[in-house]
Amino acid sequence: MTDISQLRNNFPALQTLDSKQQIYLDSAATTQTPQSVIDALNNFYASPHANVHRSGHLLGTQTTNQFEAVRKQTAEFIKAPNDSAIVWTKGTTEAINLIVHSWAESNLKKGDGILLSELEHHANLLPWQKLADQKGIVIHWLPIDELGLIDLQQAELLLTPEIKCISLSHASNVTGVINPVQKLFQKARKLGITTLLDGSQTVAHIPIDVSTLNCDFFMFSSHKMYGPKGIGVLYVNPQYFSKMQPWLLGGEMVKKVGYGHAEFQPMPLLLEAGTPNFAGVIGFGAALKYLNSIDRKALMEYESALHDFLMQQLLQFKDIRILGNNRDNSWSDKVPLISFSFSKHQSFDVSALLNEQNIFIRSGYHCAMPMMKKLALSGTIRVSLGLYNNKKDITIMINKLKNTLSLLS
Amino acid sequence: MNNIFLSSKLGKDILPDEVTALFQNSNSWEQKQRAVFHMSRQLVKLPEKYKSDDYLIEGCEANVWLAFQIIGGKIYFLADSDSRIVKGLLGVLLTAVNGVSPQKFSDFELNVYLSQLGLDNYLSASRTSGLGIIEKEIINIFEGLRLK
Repeated sequence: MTDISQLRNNFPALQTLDSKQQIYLDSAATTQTPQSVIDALNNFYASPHANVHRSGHLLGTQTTNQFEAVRKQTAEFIKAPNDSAIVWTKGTTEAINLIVHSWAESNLKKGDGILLSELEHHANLLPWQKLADQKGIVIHWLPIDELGLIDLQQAELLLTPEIKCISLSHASNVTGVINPVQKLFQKARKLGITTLLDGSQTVAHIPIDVSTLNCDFFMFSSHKMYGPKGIGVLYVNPQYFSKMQPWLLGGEMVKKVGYGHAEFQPMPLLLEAGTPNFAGVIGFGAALKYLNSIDRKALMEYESALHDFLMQQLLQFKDIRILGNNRDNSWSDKVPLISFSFSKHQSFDVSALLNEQNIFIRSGYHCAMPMMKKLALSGTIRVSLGLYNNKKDITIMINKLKNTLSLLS
Repeated sequence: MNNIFLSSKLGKDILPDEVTALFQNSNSWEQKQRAVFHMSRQLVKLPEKYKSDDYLIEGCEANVWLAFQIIGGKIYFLADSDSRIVKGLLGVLLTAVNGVSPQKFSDFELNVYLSQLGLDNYLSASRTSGLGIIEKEIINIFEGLRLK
């Protein structure tokens, strides 16, 4: 069994942080990289390679095989029914934009409705808002309460006949609350509604099964799950393959090209015009291997205990407001992050003073401005954990937070 | 003297040398922080009418309002922020530029002054921690007026 507390040693960046007495608590924004991923990237660049899906020579075949093996690994990682359902993107944002252009533009018409929640990240708002403006599609909002929670039972009542698509984040990057979408999405699908789930905040923390989640599109970014930056995954339900239109046009997504017409490749190459970030894909394969080598159940228990500890420690501050907790401060399933604010202090001031003390956390709107406005918050402080964090990190952070508050009052 | 723009002590009773000494004598980060808070208390309270979007500096994580008037060829500033740190930094900045004429203003001198204070973390041209953006805004005001 994996001893989770030893995993920190796999991350050279953590050793550097430790030697400088700096503490990184911003893994929801991006994670540090384990040595095995760094090695995979290094080896890839140090070894002979060719472009993928182009060159018929031995090297081309070898690199293509390596590249496609990671597609297979990824399909297994999220329990996708087949490898062709995996499309490489540069990250979650690109994947959502891709869906809007490749699917929504040609499959939705004027007057159709899209259901989004009020807590969505800008990446799951702006592409839809632009589409709505251009095509006369109507955005319907799943409301959040003053605690920052979506009522998913309420949501079922909003699945009216004009709704054609529902797009939600699997876990909020602001509250960390995991939205149990299975039932809602099951009902939506029965009504012929397309379901999209943004998994960027969950993939590093909980096992994903796209079939039990009942989602037609699922996307996530490698850089939030210990993999390289600039590579991400889009899962497309095979039933949607025939509905996808190419978004970017160029090399390797076509079968035949004439002056005036073209015949496109099938999925997934249809959506992968141009040379993909195949070095990133190889590195991502190493990140999957790394995560698969860890006992995921033990990891979940470890992270959840750490999350509990952080919560208890934060609750000792009297005027703290924690987002996404129930009124009695109990909380449902969450990924290990906590957003909070203090009634007497600006979040910016608190995080700036923590930064002065080598505690790296994020404050601000977390790319969810409409949500912050609705909750009447001028930003929150967010502490987010990775598998390399430990109790000591939290204890030090809490002590520095105490210093900060006494300095501010 | 009814004009509120003339009521600020910054640049008049409080001069850059004093602020430089205050920061250079602060040895720990806590002392430096207290000096920032001290400067935040030197700002004149900004009248509510200036706390509108017209005076808001865009791009800062905390709200920052900056207003100015030209009186007798010199520029007088009023500013506020909902962040105490940013307010203190505004106090530091305005000490060097309040009541200065566009002809006399030198962004080089402003830079020298700021770099002596050891506030590099705040001065970094970071997108979120405001001083870089505010400094640029002030320089733009002076340069815009010099061109007229």
